[in-house]
Amino acid sequence: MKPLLRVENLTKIYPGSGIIKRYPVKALDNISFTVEEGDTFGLVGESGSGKTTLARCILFLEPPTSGKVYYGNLCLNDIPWYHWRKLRSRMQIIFQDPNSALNPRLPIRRSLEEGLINLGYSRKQRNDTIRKILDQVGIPYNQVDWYPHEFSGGQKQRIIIARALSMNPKFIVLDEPVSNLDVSIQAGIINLLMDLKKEFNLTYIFISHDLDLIAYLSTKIGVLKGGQLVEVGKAEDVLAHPLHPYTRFLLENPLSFHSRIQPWETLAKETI
Amino acid sequence: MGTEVLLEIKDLSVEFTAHQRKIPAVRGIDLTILPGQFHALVGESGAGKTVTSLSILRLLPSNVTSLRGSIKFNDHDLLQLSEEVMRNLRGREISMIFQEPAKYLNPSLKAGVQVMEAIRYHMGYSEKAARERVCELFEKVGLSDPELAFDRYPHEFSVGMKQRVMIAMAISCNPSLLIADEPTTSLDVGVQRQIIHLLLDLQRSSKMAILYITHDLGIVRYAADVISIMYAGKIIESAPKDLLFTSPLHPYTRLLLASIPSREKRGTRLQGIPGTVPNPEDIPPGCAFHPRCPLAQQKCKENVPPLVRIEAGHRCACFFPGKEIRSNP
Amino acid sequence: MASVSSPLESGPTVFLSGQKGLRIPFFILLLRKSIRLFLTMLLIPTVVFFVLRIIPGDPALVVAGFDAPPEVVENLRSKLGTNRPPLEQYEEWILSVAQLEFGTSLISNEPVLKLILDRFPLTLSLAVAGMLCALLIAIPLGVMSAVRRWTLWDYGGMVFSQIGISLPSFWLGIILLLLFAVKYPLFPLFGGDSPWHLVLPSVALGINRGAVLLRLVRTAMIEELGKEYIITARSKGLPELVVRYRHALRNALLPVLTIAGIQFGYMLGGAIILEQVFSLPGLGRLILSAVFQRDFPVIQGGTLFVAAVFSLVNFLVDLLYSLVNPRIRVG
Repeated sequence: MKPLLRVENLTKIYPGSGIIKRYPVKALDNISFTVEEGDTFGLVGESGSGKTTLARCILFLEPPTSGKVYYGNLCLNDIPWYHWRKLRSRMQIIFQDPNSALNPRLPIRRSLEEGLINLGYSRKQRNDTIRKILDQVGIPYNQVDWYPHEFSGGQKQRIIIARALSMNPKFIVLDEPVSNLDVSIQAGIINLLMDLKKEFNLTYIFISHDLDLIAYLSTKIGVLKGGQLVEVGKAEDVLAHPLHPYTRFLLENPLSFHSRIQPWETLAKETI
Repeated sequence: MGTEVLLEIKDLSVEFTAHQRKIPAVRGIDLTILPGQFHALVGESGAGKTVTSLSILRLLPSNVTSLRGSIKFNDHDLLQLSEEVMRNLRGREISMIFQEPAKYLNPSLKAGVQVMEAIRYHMGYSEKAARERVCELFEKVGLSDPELAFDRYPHEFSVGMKQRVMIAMAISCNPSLLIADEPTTSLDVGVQRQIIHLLLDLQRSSKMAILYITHDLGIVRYAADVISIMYAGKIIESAPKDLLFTSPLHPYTRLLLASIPSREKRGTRLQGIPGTVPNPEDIPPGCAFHPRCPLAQQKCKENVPPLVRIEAGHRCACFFPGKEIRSNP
Repeated sequence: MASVSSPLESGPTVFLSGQKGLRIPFFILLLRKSIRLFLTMLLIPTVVFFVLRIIPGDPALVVAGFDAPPEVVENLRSKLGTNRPPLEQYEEWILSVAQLEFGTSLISNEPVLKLILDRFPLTLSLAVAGMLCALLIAIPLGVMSAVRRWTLWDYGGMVFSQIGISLPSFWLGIILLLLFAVKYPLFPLFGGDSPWHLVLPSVALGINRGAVLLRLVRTAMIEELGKEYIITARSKGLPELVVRYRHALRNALLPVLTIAGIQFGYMLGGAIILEQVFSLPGLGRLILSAVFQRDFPVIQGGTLFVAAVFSLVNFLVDLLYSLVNPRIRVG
């Protein structure tokens, strides 16, 4: 396994507002980790832990304040802007809200086409790619001229996955891709993502607040808290022997579906 | 005491009208809540959970065109009461908390003032007595400095604290039923835990029944006494917690439970349910779940399975309850 | 019975969500806004001065008439001070403004400040009465329209507001005069020495401004009544009137307050046309006649005064707004 993505001492500081006194916000604090080819790197963190900022910084959608990101042997910090367009297709990002990621005024064909036009595909190549890719994610090709509002949330997320996939990426950052979906739909999307990963030899960075989900699908787990990566390691190790108390706290959540803790066991401890 | 019933919903159906189309949100449900019970109403988006809870309080939006059935609360049919009497029940006997407390608190009134209102209105407390009572309540829900909290505006609290203010407001008149509509969704694990424990604690200490609406089966498994599962405007299965999780009968329930990812399932495929949750505007005929159901047969497409008692306390609306599902590859 | 979380969490003692939610003490807010007001007050005389200098033409020539003998024009120039270098003039102007010395009228030879202060009470009372009238119309009608949306009440309110907006206030004024001063002589026909004189002009002003505010109240109320906290208020069992007026209206009035404040500021500049119709000796008429008579010191002083009063009113509205809306008081 060779490292595909390496993040070194990544820090992001937002300046904060105010005239007399500013309170700079440290969104990410000295984060380092490596993602190997074929990994599913699961990042778990609660609201305000900096997971979305990290996703954006990795892809340079937002410049980090300091620190370096390597893609293979390429240091992304040094890439001139005019090379980014080509590079972007290699790394895709999928966000939580499928509703805002598709232009509501365009039929999905147009949304799917845009990136392909950018890559210089001919009309025929584009149609073939779209047909193939929609089939892959389970959307019938005869719905290609429908508008986003005619699809359900789960279907929209499938279309967005199709769009990301059509760019032939090496790795995809998934920022809470199923959190907005109904429970019965989530499993289908997760299965789809895992199938695609195998088929196209993809590498994922999977971001979620849900430790059960991260524990289910990751090969490597990173735990974010307050902008710091408090624990990172092989999934089996982190799950079996969590080192940081915060990881233990998350793993022992009695509200997790798989927890067998009963209220009377914790209630006495947690209330006075 | 054992057989006494607090709330009994019988054949409740609620229909909206939008763009001249009738949308059945709730299609004939039966639900019984005993005093002091933690009853969870579980369902996905559009299943009709919130509409059910709002019809108990009779606070449905104005585009509801049809509301049928009966909701018996302590032997009064809430749907027959005059608005005046109903208003006296709200906040005093039945109260409600919501998801996103930030939106459900008035941004320009002090937290204490908002909590005080129900006390003053229902119990006729003086300003001073009500203030004391509010401080007591704040203390009870875990707001450490009640006097300070009283004069704060909602935006000056964190989300978890806002939810505590909401809970203080809801329990201010010692209601016998608290309706909680996804009160911990989108909260962080720790805060979620605190709120659930607070609710459990209140339920136990003041014998208050809770109707807890959620889609989160983890919370339900931890906290609920009885669980009712809703799908497309109907209750399809209802059982005490232990029965439901050890021997679920309805294929939807079983598939749903199998769909939840966990570390034990690492390396295996998740079950998943094909298709999508039906839109309330076009619910399939017969059993609403049949297009997604691996057990569906001709009978399911034509007839609506009634919610029938299978064993003590366990009811299920399926023609083939508990029949083995061969998982499709 | 307070619940305590695991030691990793911020326990119930942490109140505020970080630095952001801290409430700014009122006096700091007052200080901030006062500084802003002070800077505006400095800026106004400068702008007034330069605008009047930039306008082409020699004021002395305009005042004296184009065929006046040169020595008369020269005399006027030195009286107006326009024959001296601009910077010197500016310095003198600022100094005199600082001493509240606006010069004397070319026509009546009275101090400009006295002329203005003589007229201002009437304008002020007209503005206050007009605003009161506007709010008395706008708030109850607006709330009613919003609550009974798409009913006859609402349509009635909308028609009223449409008429009120489109009818010019002078026409309304004339109709009111004809009706209630001529046909049924309940109120005096002209003049401005008793409160009775103010009734008809304030009503005319109130209908006009209230019509605009009515729409605003209606829209804001509809928005607020659709918000989630209204459901909370109802779920507490509060009577509908309390829900509407205590919960919804409080929030709905915020945008209304802003617009009403600006309207009030304008009214303080004098309702020129209404003052003309009702023959009220207000500020508007003073400035208007000064314009007709090319009475430069009065125009200059009047403009300055109106602008200053306008900023002052805005300052007060701002303060009031931050008192009513707690969310604005965070840094």
